[in-house]
Amino acid sequence: MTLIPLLQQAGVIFLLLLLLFFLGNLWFYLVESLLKKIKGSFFPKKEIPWHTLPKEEQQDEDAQNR
Amino acid sequence: MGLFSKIFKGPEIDMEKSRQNAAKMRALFDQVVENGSSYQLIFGYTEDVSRFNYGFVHGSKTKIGNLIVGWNEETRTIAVVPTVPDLSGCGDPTYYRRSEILKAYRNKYPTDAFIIYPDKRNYIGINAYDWLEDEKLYVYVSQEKELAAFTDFFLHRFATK
Repeated sequence: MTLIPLLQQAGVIFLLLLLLFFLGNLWFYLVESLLKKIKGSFFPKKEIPWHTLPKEEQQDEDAQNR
Repeated sequence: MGLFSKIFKGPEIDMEKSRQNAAKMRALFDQVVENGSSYQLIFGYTEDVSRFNYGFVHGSKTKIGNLIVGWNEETRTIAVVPTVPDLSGCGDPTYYRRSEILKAYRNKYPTDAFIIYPDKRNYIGINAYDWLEDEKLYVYVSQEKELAAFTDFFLHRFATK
């Protein structure tokens, strides 16, 4: 008799926690993106020099994977 | 029996993949470091942990930076090259020469990191392990012997007292 209301309560609590989790995540990413934009406008990122893997190495790997 | 022994044995290292990645690390390193072949290599990484408090949400963030770490026994120089887990490319090297650095030591807490202070303001903490399974975060390479050699070099010929 008392099992169904108990399960309902547990379900409601679970849904509330789930909602809290999603809201927390949403809030986190919102603040992060705002901070990133503010930082980016005040301190623009310097371009970091980047060197890609030599082609011979990439070809060797492709050949081995085939 | 066979299944259980496999489970208890833990994850096995794909040596072929490890060998390929070691070759890629060498190619990238030699590409950007002058006389790169005179350096021995290991894979290392840096960890940047920062705390945040955004009102009702707070916690910590960890940023991992992958590194190809090369060391030259003769010149007592460590060259550090930033890279990415799939080794598709790398950045410019930073050199730490024993004669030029402020101090270097092996950290004990919170991690066994190799710490180098080139000057008073900057420092780098290099973490290194025999093998790390998570390919999305770290370079997949098995390096037991290389790590032992680097540890020996760092502790006996590079660390300051």
